[in-house]
Amino acid sequence: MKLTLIIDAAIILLVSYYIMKKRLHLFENIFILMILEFLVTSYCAILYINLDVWTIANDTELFIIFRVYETIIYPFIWLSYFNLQPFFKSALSKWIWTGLFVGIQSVVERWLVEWDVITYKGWPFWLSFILQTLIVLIVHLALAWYRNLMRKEGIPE
Amino acid sequence: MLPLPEKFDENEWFLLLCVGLSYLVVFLLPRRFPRSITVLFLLIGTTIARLSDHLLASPKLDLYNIMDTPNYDLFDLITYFLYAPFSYLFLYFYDKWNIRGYWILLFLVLCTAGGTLFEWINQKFGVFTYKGWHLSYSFSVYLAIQCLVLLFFHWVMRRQPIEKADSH
Repeated sequence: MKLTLIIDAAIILLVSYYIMKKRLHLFENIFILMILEFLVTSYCAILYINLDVWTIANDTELFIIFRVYETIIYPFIWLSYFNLQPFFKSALSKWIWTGLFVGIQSVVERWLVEWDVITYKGWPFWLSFILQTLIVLIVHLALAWYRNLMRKEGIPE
Repeated sequence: MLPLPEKFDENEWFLLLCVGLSYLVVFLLPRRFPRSITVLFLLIGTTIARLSDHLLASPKLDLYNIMDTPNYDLFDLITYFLYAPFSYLFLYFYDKWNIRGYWILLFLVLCTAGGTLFEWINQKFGVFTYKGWHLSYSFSVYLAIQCLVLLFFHWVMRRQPIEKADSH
């Protein structure tokens, strides 16, 4: 039941992303997706393999849920954030928008904890919140660099 | 967070040498694609390698180890820098030699064989330690991935709004 729910959620997220009016160039979208896939798999590996502050469920169904979360749900939530962000013009609204998505990501992670997909071992939830913020900042910086590269080559945004 | 190697020996030296040489080749070759596209061609190799290793070599499946430990250590991270020039060079020569028709199949098989051979050398140097994995599986994985990378190449090139950089 949990697995079908998460797969349905992933499909809905993918379709929503596909039909969404994207404000970023296609290359920017690919760039962000690849950076996010790399970051999220590294971030999770460090937490549950190296530091052992997370345990991922051994049960196959729950383990697949975690993989779907890592490779589809997590990056596509951020990708949607980056595509919708240009709609907000003022700095304050951008910050609120970022805060909202950091909150969404944290709630999704919390949900996985409630489902026993992830078990915290002395890991405080607020640290996840900080890490989500750090990840979005890293992607923003990488995107700014890539956008500058595109601008120099005359690719319209 | 990212542990250092248990012992700085042949696998670390081999990896650093390969990373250095492969990037040198990439920088010495004449530029073929716009920089924004070059970045994507470099990243595709790294991302696919990271995803495959994460799915196949992390706990639960754990079919092989990368470098000294089962952990995600600093030199695991450096191995991903090695995939970037390989994916770039694969696409570079595919485009430069204008490979079409049945030649694509030959190119794919040769590159897959080359990739598998390189992995075998890596295994000999202790970059990979198999725990249920077999080199023949790598051939199939490389073949599938290289097909995907070629599809990605055509998809990107169809959408690129600027002319290719002068190759010579």
